[in-house]
Amino acid sequence: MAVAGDGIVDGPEHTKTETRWVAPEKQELHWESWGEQHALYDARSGETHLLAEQTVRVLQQLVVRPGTAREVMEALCRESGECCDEQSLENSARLLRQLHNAGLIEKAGT
Amino acid sequence: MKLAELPKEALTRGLEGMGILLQTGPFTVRIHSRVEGFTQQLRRFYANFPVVPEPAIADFHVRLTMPGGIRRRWRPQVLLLLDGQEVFLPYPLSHAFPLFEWGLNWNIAMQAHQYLMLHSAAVERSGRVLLLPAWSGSGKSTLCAALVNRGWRLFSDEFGLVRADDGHLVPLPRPMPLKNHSIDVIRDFAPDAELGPSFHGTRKGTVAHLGTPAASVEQSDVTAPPGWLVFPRYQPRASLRLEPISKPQAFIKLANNSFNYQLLGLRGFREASRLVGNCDCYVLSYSNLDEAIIALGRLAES
Repeated sequence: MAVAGDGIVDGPEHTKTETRWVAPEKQELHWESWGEQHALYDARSGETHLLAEQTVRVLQQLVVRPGTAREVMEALCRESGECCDEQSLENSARLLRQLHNAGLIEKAGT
Repeated sequence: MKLAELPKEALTRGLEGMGILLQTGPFTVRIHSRVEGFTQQLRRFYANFPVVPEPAIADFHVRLTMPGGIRRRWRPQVLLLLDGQEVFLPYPLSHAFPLFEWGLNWNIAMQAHQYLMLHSAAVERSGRVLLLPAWSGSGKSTLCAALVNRGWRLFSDEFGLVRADDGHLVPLPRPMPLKNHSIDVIRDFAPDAELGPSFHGTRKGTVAHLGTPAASVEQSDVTAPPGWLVFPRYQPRASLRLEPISKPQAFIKLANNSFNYQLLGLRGFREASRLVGNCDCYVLSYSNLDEAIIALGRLAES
């Protein structure tokens, strides 16, 4: 059982925003949602994760299409109609780092 | 036929021969024993339990024997074999009954993976089950014993067995082991409660078993849906607090209080999710049993 997306699983590695990330196949991820909190079962690892809404959006965007922190951020901003700024990019990179530390995403080509 | 209706000689003969097939909740247990004193304890605590007629398939095979050698004379011991395997070291002979109970629990926890198994007390009122998941030392068994003595139906003081097809809880009523201080607490709380002898110096200290209410045994095949998920914590001198918690919080706590959540994989995730979704979820801190019983009673009435 792991908890991601609330800032406690941050790793030491600084992840460059041009790193391309890839998520598992959609059928490997099983979801249960209660309001803005979500439980995710990763069939590959057998691990369960609790994720906040924003982290789920990032992960689901990667499930649709692999991408960099910037590409993920831009896709989410387009989807929500929000403006993107440097803070959005930092948030996106941070959440991707957390997802990577939780074993939920990988760097493309690895 | 109930165990109490079996003539004493037939019970002894059965235990020493092919074994006695006892029904405990959904499980059929074949019990073999040649151990002095155990037969009387079994007869006392399982008097109302059904004996399954032969031939039948047993889920578990439990055998109690006395190891040979010089110890047999000077320091007699009892050995428990579960499905033919020696799982625990021998215990003092006088601890045969608690050893049997722990052995049966171990067998269930290791094998009954057709259920999502919660480490939880479970009691029923008004057709819904109150689950009290907690690890040892939280006061779970004491609270369960107190609730049962105030009219709740006992499902189990140790296992929340969640059935896969409909999410119902499956009763597994058995004698409730009270430990150390809890023994006197329940004696004071329910002076008429049927408490057995105290077994001193066990690995869990002093243990005494509280009898299973006959009505709970008779309704062993009546399942019920979950209604409330309450995570209890006994804290000396604490004021009563029964506070709602979010579903994600409850989910984490539930998974951490399961014997086989990880092992069941996706099925465990789905069953735990369904259970949390169908329950009102709370944490309970208490020091006064009466206050806790009243608060949980109100919960059931609401």
